[in-house]
Amino acid sequence: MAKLRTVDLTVGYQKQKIVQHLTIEIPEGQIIGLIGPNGSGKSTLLKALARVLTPLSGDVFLDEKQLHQIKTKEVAGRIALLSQISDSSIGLSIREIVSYGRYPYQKGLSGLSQKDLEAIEWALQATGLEALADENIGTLSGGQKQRVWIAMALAQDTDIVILDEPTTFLDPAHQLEILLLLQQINQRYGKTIIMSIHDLNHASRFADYMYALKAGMLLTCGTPEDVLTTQWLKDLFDIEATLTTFPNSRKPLILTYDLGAES
Amino acid sequence: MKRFTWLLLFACLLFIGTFFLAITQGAADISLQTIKEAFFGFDYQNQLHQVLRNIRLPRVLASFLVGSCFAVTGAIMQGITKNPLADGGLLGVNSGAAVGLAIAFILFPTIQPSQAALFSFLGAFIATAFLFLLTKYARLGMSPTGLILAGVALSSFFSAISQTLSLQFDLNQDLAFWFIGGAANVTWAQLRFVTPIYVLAILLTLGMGKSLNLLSLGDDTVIALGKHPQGIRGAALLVVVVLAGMAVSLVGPVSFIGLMVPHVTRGLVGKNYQLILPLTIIGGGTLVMAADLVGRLINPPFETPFGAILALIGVPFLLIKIRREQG
Repeated sequence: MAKLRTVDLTVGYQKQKIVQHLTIEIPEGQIIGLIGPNGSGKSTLLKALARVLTPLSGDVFLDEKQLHQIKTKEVAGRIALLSQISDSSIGLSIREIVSYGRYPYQKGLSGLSQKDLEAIEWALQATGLEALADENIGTLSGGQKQRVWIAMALAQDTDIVILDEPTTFLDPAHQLEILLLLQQINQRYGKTIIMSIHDLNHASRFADYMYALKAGMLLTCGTPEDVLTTQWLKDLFDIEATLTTFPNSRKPLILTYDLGAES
Repeated sequence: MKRFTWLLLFACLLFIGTFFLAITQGAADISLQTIKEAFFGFDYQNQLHQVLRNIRLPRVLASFLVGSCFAVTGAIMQGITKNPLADGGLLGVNSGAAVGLAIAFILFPTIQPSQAALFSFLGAFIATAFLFLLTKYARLGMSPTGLILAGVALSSFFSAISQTLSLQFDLNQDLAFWFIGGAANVTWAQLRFVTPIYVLAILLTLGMGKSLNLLSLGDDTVIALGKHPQGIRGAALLVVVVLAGMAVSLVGPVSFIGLMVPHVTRGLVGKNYQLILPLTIIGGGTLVMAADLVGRLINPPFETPFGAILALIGVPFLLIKIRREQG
């Protein structure tokens, strides 16, 4: 298992600080939902957690080691990142794309090892893509494409998988399909899944633990019951939400919401 | 994959066909029989043998070589900038190499072609460094049009320098002789110098397909997979510098090949650089070999520069492509 935490983390681009003074400890082996308004720094935080962005100040620690001191390749064997915009115009078969997930394990010019091939097959199987493996990604639907990127991240065989809005641009059925897939991956293989998500009811249903980010600062965190309250939603999004619970669990469900008085 | 094998086979056949036409046709027609004799029983007295061995063969080989260089540098630059309009000619790399040559002639009027090539590499390197800095500061989010504008500015800037230099130092004769002649002036000595570099650079290029594919997944993904996108770009640009510098040192700056050939191959095999690169190498070489042949046949014994013929096809091609990009 890999433990990820941040200490007084400030991160951004050039001189613009996007996320400021953030200290969090990510629970292991759970599904973590990251919520917040547009521009609140969700993507930036996820990139810092995946070591794609270097902190301006403060630190990210992976198992008590400073993340940016660890080699890129080694990090890639521990943390997978699925970024928001994936260009699917590439003319490769699904199997080829998934095989890219094995990059962190390849040495020099050597090809794919037996272990690589097994990991690729496993990732294809776990995402239900075996039958399509030799198809070109361009021929797939949006939901299937997203599965391919998830399969690539799975082939990377990491303890932690970070996903930036994995359900954006998908229709309701495909959104649910992807989230169920992630839940299955979390439960079967014990991977820590960290994802940003806009749909609060999905966040409530699938996340074990949540972080609410506003203007680059941590507003609150905790279980969905802790975070998705009328007061916190008002503070976070400036909305007046009417809450109930899911019929089969105690997790909060937003029935409807209106814009706050200030808007 | 099967489709690719057929395409590769077709490209090779096209290459062989064009190659035979290119060495037999021209101001002096040479029969296949004579070619056989020239290779296996060379006769110093036979004028046709001389023409074939010392004039036609080097120019045909040179036209293939420069064609493949210009074409594949276009493909690589399109890969690293994620911009289908990138091309060594349009982005100023070729004209940078030409400035290098002009400076070589000023400093060392009696310079050997092989030494001039080094200056050409240097010029291409400086132009590429400029371009790299430009794209770096635009955070690589530079739009296709933005990059082309920057490239055209850079390209005009370098052209202006080489023209000023050639007027100031009276280089017109040397440079014109060098450039306008196209592949016709390339000697065996030059070919002997560039061939090992060419083979090495092409082998490196062929090994870069997977990395270029990876780049098209986006920088964040590349880093998350444990690779360094700027490292991949740097290595690829180094190969671009060598290939473009070499081609310019042989025939001068020629545009449009790097734009047309990769575009056509991309259309045939999709956006997979492992397939695009080999097809582009053969396709680009064959195209220039054919253009050079056409240039010889239009008005013999006078020659039409193949650069002019390519521009004749290339300019409308670029205009149509820009229109499509915007549409």
